[in-house]
Amino acid sequence: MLNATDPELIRLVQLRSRDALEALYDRYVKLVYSFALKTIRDESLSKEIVQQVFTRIWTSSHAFDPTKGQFTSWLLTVTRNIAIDVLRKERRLEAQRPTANEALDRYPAPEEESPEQSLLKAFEQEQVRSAYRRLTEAQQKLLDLFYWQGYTLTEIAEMTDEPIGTLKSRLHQSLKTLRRLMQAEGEG
Amino acid sequence: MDKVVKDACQHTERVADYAFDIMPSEERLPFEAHLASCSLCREELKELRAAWQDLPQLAELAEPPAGLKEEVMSGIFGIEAKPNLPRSRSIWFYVMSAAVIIAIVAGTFWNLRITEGRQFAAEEALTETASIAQLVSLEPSEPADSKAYGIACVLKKGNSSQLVVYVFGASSNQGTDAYQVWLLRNGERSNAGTFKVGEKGIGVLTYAMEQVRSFDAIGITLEPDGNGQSPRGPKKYGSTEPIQWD
Repeated sequence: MLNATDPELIRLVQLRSRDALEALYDRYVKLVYSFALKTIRDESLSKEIVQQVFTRIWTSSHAFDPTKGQFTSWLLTVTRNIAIDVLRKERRLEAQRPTANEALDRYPAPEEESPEQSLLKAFEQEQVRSAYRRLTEAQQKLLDLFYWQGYTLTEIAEMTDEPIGTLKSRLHQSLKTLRRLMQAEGEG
Repeated sequence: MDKVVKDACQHTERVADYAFDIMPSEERLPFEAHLASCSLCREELKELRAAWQDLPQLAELAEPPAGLKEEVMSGIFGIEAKPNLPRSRSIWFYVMSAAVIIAIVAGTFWNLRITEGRQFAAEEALTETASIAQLVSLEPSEPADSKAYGIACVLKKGNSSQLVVYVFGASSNQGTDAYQVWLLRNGERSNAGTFKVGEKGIGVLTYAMEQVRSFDAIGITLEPDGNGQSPRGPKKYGSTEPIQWD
């Protein structure tokens, strides 16, 4: 199991191998959990998201097409979709409660450094982060609202009182800039 | 083969909508057709997707809480048996449970329909009484199920034999999933039927055998549904000795 590639493990999961699912779990739970935590900013809801993600992998492993991209991209798309569903549901529930609970607006406490983080991964992460920091404040805010907080462009337009067209261009431009900065740093 | 490559494509602005899943669904297919013939837009899509797929790296890596794996896996593969089940596993408990079951089954033996369409042997055997020809215990396959156990017993009436499989302390079934009983003979596994376990953790299956007089092993698996012809799910119980009778 330890040397199997991701597509091989998924194939075994399709053949109902629990061991293969557990191997994928061990390999990727940290990634899924970290992503969930950044989106939902709540430990117990993040656990719930992890549960739903790996249940989805077990029941819908056929949805992953190895010819269409990496397993991690698919995994993170699934994670993001589930996380945003949970986040939006929580928001609806929060809105119904008489006393406003600000838990969802709190930013998480600074994470402790993980000793297991490999140097390469830390380097790649730093590349994306430093590229991100070079975006304008408006671009960063939009990315945060759209990508991490799961608001639709329509909702963001209402919140910021800006036309959707402007937001779309800004989003488009932010990603292109990120890409350009990443490539430049990669070649530096 | 691409059409004439222009310096710019009027559709390039829409690539972002496609990439970020904000394009209305009815526009997707026509747009995909456009992508197939426009290298400028394909290139744009590649760039946007690459940036989009880098975004997760903005998340700080965090260690999941302890015990999460057990919770996740038990959520997917079955819940633990309820803690207030009796713990006694002495042989007399097995024997008494078996006696109760057999008494019930023998009483309704020839009138019982086991699975759809399968009927019992001739009604003329009503005058005879069933006897226990063989009794073996079924051990749980996973240590986590240590409160669970099972019995397989063969009842004989005249020339017909009836297999009764009984499990106690099993995880109850969720949704379409079901336990399935497999008989192993000469290296071949055959399906003896499926049964469901409810809240009490008890399951029973009866299976009529006409000419069979022995098998090497019995196994019980937990299947996603009752339609399989070979085991798909994990083994939950297994016999500890071969089963033979006259």
